[in-house]
Amino acid sequence: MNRARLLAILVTAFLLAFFGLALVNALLVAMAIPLVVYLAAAFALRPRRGELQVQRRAIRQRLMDGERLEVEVEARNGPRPFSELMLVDRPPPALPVEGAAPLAGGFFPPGQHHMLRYTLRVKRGLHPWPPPQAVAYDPTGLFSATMETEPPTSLAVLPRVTRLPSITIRPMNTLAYAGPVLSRRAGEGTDFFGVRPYRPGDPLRRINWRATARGLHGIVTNEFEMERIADVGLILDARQRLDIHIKGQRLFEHGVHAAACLANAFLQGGNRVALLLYGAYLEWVFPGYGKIQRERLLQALSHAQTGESLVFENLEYLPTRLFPARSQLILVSPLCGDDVEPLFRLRARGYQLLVVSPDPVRFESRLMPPHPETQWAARIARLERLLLLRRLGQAGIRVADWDVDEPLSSALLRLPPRPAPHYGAIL
Amino acid sequence: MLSRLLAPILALTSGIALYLPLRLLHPAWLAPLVLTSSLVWALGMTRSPALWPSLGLPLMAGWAGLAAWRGLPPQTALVALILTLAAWDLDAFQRRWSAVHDTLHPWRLELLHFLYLGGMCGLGYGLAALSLGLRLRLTFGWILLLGLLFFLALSRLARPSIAEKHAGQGGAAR
Repeated sequence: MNRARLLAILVTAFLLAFFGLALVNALLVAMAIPLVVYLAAAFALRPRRGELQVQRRAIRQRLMDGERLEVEVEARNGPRPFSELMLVDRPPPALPVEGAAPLAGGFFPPGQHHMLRYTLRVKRGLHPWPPPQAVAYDPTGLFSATMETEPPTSLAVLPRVTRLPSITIRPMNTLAYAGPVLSRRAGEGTDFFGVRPYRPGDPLRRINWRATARGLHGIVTNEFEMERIADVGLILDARQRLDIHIKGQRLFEHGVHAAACLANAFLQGGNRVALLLYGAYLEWVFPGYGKIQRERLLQALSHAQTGESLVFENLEYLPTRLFPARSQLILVSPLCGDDVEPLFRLRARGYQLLVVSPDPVRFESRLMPPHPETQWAARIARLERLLLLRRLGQAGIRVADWDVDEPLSSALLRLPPRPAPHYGAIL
Repeated sequence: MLSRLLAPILALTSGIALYLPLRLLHPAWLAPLVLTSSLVWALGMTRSPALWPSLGLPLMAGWAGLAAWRGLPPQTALVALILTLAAWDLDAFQRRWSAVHDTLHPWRLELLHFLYLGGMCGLGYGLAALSLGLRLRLTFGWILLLGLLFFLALSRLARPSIAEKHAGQGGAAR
């Protein structure tokens, strides 16, 4: 209903009639008559909810960040005509519509069928999607009837996933099944592990003839390192205070993208992957393998949001019990000075740590106006960050310093070589 | 859309319809003021904020009422009011549909609206002209009763708007 217009004509008609009666002026009263006729006709012809069916169809069901979604809204009229009918779809506010607004309408004769098509550019997230509306107007537009034939729904957009190069991890513990991770145990494999005295049954091609020729331990056999799958715990840092939101861009989105890519890469390697979102609260996806687990992780990442909590202000309360002892942990976080001590403790407990750190300094300084003060501040912040990353590196924590303007794979290729094992060949 | 052209033309015509006889009446400032108002309204229809369509009718009807009270010929006042009403309606119509790019049967939509508006304006004008020819001698009590009935009818018309305000957007219609 157009309240302003209705009020305008009501007030005008009332004032004309009132002054006409008060001033005993028949012309003024007569002037109110056309307005009253107009109003009465609009009221008599005000639209009723008809037998109109409105149905929305999205062409694709599984969506990833940055993709296009083609939406169709189909309206089919029943036996009653609508003199003025407007078909409106209300896309989620965060998703921009490409081209014209999803709006159609006009005269709808009985049995009229119309299809409204538009395209959305989707962004990661869980977007509530109100149902499409059909608004029927009376000929004056004063009264309207809104028809919604579908319940509200939501649109889940998964984070974008790109392929990553092989990432070498060396957790202390591995699982029982064959996989790509060196397990620090002798067995079937391709990497040289050590030598041991010959045992009956050892294949002859494994005999280390040079060591045998030295004659110190009799016949000596080469051992190879077993390759197994591993438990990988992904931790996505969703603390509000580490997120940077500038000019419509968020650093957190890059973190989500990195977590999705890493989850995909490790699951493709056959590993068992779990996910922990560490922000306003803890959201935990149980460890699992394969494509189903990939979907679980992507769904969890699709609605990941930053949040603030006094309890989870720093990484002090990272629930390590959720991750198997001495497994591989991968933290995706911009990092801050408070995080060093908790990470050292994790390392001391035997976890192998890999930190993928989207660089907040470069991200922010690039989007800020180039004042000399900003450049100096960025330089100081970069130095602080370099020191922080160096301290982590000295503690045996591998850090991928990721400038978010470059592909994640480039940052991972620059990772320091795999950590040296803490053991040697034992004879 | 034709209504996009017609609405400002009708608004300006209603202003001119009031201006020409008002030049001969007292006070002298009323005629240019009415013409300026209609000109501003007509310009506002082409490039204005959304408040103008609602304010145009009370403004121009108010001028017409004032002119009628100052002795404007009844037929002129009625014609000016009808033109104002038509301009106000067409402006709202074209605003309602100008945002819609995908219009079904646009000519039929506009034609139906013109027919409806023409009918309403004709009926309104006819009834108003007829009522001017009637000679009723009413006592004060009758006037009071008719005023009360008129007020009740208007409040009945306004009831859906009030109900919608309380029920939220679109609540009354559904």
